[in-house]
Amino acid sequence: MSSELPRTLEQYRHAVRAHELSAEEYLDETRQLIERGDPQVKAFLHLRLDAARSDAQAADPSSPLAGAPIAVKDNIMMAGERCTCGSRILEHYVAPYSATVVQSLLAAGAVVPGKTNLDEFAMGSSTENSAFFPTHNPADLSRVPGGSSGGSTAAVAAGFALGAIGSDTGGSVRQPAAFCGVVGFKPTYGLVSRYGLVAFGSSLDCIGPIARSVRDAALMMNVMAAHDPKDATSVRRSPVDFEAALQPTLAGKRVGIIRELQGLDVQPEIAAAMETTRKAAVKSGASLVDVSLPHILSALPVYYIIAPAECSANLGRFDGVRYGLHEDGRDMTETYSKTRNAGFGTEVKRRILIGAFVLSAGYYDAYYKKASSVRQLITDELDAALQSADVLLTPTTPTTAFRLGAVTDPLEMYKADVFTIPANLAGVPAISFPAGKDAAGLPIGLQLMGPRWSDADILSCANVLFTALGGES
Amino acid sequence: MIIDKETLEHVASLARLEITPDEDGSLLGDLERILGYVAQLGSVDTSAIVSKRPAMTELRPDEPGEGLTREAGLGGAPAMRDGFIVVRNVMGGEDE
Repeated sequence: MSSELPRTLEQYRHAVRAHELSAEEYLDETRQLIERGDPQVKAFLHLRLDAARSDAQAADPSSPLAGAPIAVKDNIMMAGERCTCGSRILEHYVAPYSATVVQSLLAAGAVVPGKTNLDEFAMGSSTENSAFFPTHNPADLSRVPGGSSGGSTAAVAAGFALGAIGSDTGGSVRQPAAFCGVVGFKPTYGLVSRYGLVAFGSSLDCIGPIARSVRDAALMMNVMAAHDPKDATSVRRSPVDFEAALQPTLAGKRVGIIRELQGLDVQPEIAAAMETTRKAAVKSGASLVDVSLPHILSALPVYYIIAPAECSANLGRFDGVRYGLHEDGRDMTETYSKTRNAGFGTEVKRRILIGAFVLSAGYYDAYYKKASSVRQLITDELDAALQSADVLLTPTTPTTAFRLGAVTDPLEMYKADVFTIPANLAGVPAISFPAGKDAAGLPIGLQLMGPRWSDADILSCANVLFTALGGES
Repeated sequence: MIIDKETLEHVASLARLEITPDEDGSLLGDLERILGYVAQLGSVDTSAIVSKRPAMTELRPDEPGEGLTREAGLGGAPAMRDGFIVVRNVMGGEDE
């Protein structure tokens, strides 16, 4: 084995195929990193390292992922493994089947070292809402990793896995990717199957890859993107080779800058990273265009009506009858409420209550119906802006990673999602890629959004910018 | 005020959630502020918006296929008897 361990999935695959490294050797190295580092980082809720080692031994070196360790967020099912969603209500739940994406990754030679921590039911932006413990940012253990896929992004940043999968309902892959200094991609809604993902906001949820380079995210997308008859919102498209579609330049690309986001209060180093990246885009052959999205700042209030409404319906299934926690009451109704009260944490309860309120008689039109209309308005504006620009460049987050316990006001926490939510409302693809560090050495992430089904193009543009800024090609 | 204690209790009963006395005050305050924040959408003019129906999803043919075994499907149930899930009496009266 060579002394230098591969840093990316691409390098790993190359080394394994060249017989310089075996999947078991790499897993043993990974195991050491996990055993040394995870007691501090706390990226994983459950580990399966012995099983992963047997899987690595059996992995075919010529398979697309060649035995590479890929971590799985604990709201995505893997048969025979616990799937807690970071919640007491599913603390002992064992998945009876695997998500389609997990099946695809395993079939492509991935090895799963463990299931990663998350904000309970993916509701949060810091992974502090996990019912079990918070995850820490590998770049600075006193800071949050972001959320809700904070366990997955921390695992990739800390070297506990070469890639990971997360779910993104309002930015839950991209925001923690930005905080941890890794790549996080939210595909077009319908491109990756949601079968086996525990639903939060069904019209918003997407499963996406988390990786150390944009190329690695493209490699993972080659395995993850496929039509799935088991997900009625999965769309039948001709297969795309996302890696082969990576281009060397941005020649001819129009990079849009959103006028209405310019006045927002953003950490100065993030504003500076935007400027550097704009210049890098021009140097790579792109032209910059100014676009207007008059209602984009309404995306946040729209989301905090639509997502709770959908979650209040989706989480209705957790009633202590068919699976999960059960707390006995005097009758059926009391059994439901006692179970749910004991099983759900504060943020989940808050969102279920908001959802039940905005859907209840007398409030439906003023809240839910209004939010649905404004969602359409924002989608139409985004579609129009993406006629005059090929991609839109924004920060991923207004600040870099904050300290654990520093944000206690739920409304303030929601505002961490201001840049990421529009892509979920409109169902368009968006990626966060690392773009330098702030004065404290904390990673900065920037975001590209594009039209629906331009996933290959978004990955290509992000790869050009990421490598121009010094990232792994 | 958007939401009062009575409305909160009504909504909680719809959602089958119990609100414990120690959660009562903070939840009400949080909900009031969150609902106050999202209520800003009221000022957005949506009179010209034509809500588009989502594209028709493609349903798979209704053909029997391999699914979960009964054992796997029932594996997570808190209480089981003779291959069925045990529930409390839902029609009123005493449990068996």
